[in-house]
Amino acid sequence: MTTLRLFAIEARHNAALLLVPVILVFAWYMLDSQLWEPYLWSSTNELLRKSVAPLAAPAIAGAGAWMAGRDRRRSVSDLLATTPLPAARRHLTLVSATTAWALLGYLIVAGYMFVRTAPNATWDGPEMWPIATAVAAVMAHGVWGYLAGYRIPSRFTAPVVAIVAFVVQLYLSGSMTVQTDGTQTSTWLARLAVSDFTPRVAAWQALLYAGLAAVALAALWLLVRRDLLRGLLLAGAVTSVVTGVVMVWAGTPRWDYANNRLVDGWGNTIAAEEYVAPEPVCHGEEVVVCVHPQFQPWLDRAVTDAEYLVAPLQGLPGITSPVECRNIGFAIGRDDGSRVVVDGCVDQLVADEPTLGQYGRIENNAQQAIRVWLLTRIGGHTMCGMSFDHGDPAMGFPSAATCEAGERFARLPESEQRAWLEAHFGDLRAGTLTLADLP
Amino acid sequence: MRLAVLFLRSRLVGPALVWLGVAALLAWFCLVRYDDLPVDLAALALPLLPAVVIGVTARSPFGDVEEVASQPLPLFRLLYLAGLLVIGIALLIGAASVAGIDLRLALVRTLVGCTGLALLSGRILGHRLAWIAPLAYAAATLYLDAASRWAWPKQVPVEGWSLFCGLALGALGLLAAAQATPRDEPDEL
Repeated sequence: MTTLRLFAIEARHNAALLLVPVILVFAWYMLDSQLWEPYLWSSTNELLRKSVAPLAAPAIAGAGAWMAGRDRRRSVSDLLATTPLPAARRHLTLVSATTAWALLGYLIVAGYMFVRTAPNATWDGPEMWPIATAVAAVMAHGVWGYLAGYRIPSRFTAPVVAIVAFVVQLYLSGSMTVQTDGTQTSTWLARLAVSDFTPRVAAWQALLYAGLAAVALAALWLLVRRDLLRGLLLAGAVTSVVTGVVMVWAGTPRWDYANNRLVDGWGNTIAAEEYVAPEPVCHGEEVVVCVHPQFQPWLDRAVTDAEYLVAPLQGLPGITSPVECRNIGFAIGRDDGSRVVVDGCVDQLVADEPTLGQYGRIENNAQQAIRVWLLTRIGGHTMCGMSFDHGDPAMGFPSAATCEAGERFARLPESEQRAWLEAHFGDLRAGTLTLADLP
Repeated sequence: MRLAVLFLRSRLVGPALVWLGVAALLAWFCLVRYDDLPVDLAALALPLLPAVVIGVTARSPFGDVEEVASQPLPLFRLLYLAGLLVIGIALLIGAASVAGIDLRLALVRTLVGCTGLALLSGRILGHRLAWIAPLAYAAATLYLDAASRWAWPKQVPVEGWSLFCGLALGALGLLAAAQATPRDEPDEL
């Protein structure tokens, strides 16, 4: 009971309290700038790693260092040494109260994201290991900061600890290596960063940070009084850190160029995981749109968009009924919001499959002009007016003349458009028309 | 002379110079050993440490008492902070030159801007907490597109806008720290 009361007092008079609004504002900013989509677990899971820890972890390290120097600044160290409460428990209470504020900030953000996502998401679920890692990392930073502040009581300790923690995380996450084929890939060190998540090593990453927190706590305990039990605890904590680092190193997949296979750190072959795509969800009568189940919340609007796209072509030769839209995409936009993008469906409408280019895109200019017209109708992305290298027609970018022809076609009365389409649509799909054949 | 020496001692200039040296060594080590980090992130991260060290040294242990000093102290404060900033710049440029990486202007720009942020933050929150604003701003720009106007600390090569932001923040910070006696109210915690 005394400890709880002390915890409440320490929490109330704690510098980390000032950090909670900073952490929340930062998280809100990150969710906004990174275009968080609360209907997707993939987006929520990713931003749970990125939105809090990059600031909360180093900031709590600084706050921990600052709080550790409080008794010295207030000149009450000697006075406190005479109290009956053991010094170790006093330190533990203060460091717990300091860390608790950052954890509260993180849990508020995580709780808000879960509450928004859980009722709306239609596929997948939360990833718990990254949350465990983030919680352990925040604790580890807080305790190490406290330990640094306790050992090096200086005005500079808090800022130095905070910035060094930030830079170390940044360098860990950015650790790259150049492969023999010239490509850059992350090294195993990047797997140690809080913001990184690899399912194979996630549990070891959490163990590493939990171990780091335990090492600092045990060291703090040992600094207060040296005995065998505390020494053994420190040794155990160090062992868990070493185990975590070794297992993260070993568990990180790497490519064995000599034998052309994926191996772990011990040289064992990693069997390729068989990806089983989930059953798509389809909707629509005249026009059917099938999407990954996670995009189900946007399916109705996608069907409406697709129906509007196909409407002027209904009944023309080559347009089956119902039409199944392929090449569906997904876009998260600040202005338009999130949506299933049906623009890719246009290619299958205006071109027979054999006429498509190397990358499955339209190469014929007349087909592209009609594509531009159809996309303009639905407010899609025509890629007109953008500067591209037009040297590779297989990339499917429209030229200025093509765009102009498409816009000219769009200005025609609907009856003339329909008449031209009825007369030439078969040839258009076969890829035998040129821009000169368009009205 | 005695006033200047006492003033510098009250600001812990000795440890500050040591930390600026350590920051330059760390920058050199990072640039040489971990040169695979994208240059924009290096330009963002490496000047943070010297910036917060300068921000923290602006703290006065005397508070309001300084207002009744025999000589006006704003000029002392300005010269002291500007001098420390120049030393920090020189050390960082030296580290980048030895490492042979052409990031000097970007590092200087970010150092000046972040020092300004630290001094402004110190003016509002108390100089012991001067590190919060540069840290939060750096974390916020981490995932920002480098082309964004807000991402000035990591824009490489250095262009007009980012240079303006760095210099403006630096000037504002220096003026803020020079004009008033910095207090540390959150010290009560």
